[in-house]
Amino acid sequence: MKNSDSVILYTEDNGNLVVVVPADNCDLTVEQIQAKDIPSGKPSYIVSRSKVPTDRSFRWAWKLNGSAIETDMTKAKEIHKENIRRARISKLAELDIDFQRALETSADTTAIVSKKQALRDAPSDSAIDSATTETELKSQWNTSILGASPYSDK
Amino acid sequence: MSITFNSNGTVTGVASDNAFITGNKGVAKAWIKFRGDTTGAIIASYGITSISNPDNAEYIITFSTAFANANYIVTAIVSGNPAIHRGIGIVDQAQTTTTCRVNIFSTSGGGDHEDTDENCIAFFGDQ
Repeated sequence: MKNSDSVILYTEDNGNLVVVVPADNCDLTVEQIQAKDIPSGKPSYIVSRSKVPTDRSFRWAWKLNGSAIETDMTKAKEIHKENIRRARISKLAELDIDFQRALETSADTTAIVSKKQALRDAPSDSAIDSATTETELKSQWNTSILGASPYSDK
Repeated sequence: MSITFNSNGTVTGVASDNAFITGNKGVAKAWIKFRGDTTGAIIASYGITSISNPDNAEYIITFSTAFANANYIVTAIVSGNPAIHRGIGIVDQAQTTTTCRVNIFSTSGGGDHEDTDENCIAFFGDQ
């Protein structure tokens, strides 16, 4: 069994879960690397690499429950809202241009204003707060106003 | 020390690979190529015991042998494409004799931290 078939998990002071990948060609066992490389005083766990989720959409919401990785949904919702905020930046800029053009030609701006408001409201959608799983959270992505989901290629 | 061959063809007096590297200022003491999109999977390495992923697009590389001081040189590249420009830097105050913490950021993404497919880092200095 190679060292890299395992990972070492511990939690930093800021709450982030750290995944340590041991090197194969260093003449040390995983246990020796754990003793050498993990900050002293930090509880750490050697687990199979297969136990690490391959979907990293909410990587920074991972936390330890014993030696198992699980998702902190409160953090995951903040990540999701931040993804929405990033996605809407370019959309709002495009709508600002549309709005200015409409003003210049005295065209109706109602639809544009409505789209801008929908983008502003998107992070506070109540469905985000009520999501209980990553899958439910990912489904709260309105492609009609935000464009392609950042989770579709994960 | 002189180099000798005995009747069995055994060579003595030649420095081991590690001793040769440790005593040479001009060679990299450690290097690593790793993936940033799969929690730091190591593709190839030398002189490294582990790589850790403590924060978004941040990595802690831990050396097999400690450097003599924290003034060693770090050289690195990260993958990208013509539409996505990225950089890599040492986290402030995070270059120690035993570890080096680096972060990867997207210059075309406003400086946001960004995980990348492949990254290469080499370390030069006295051990």
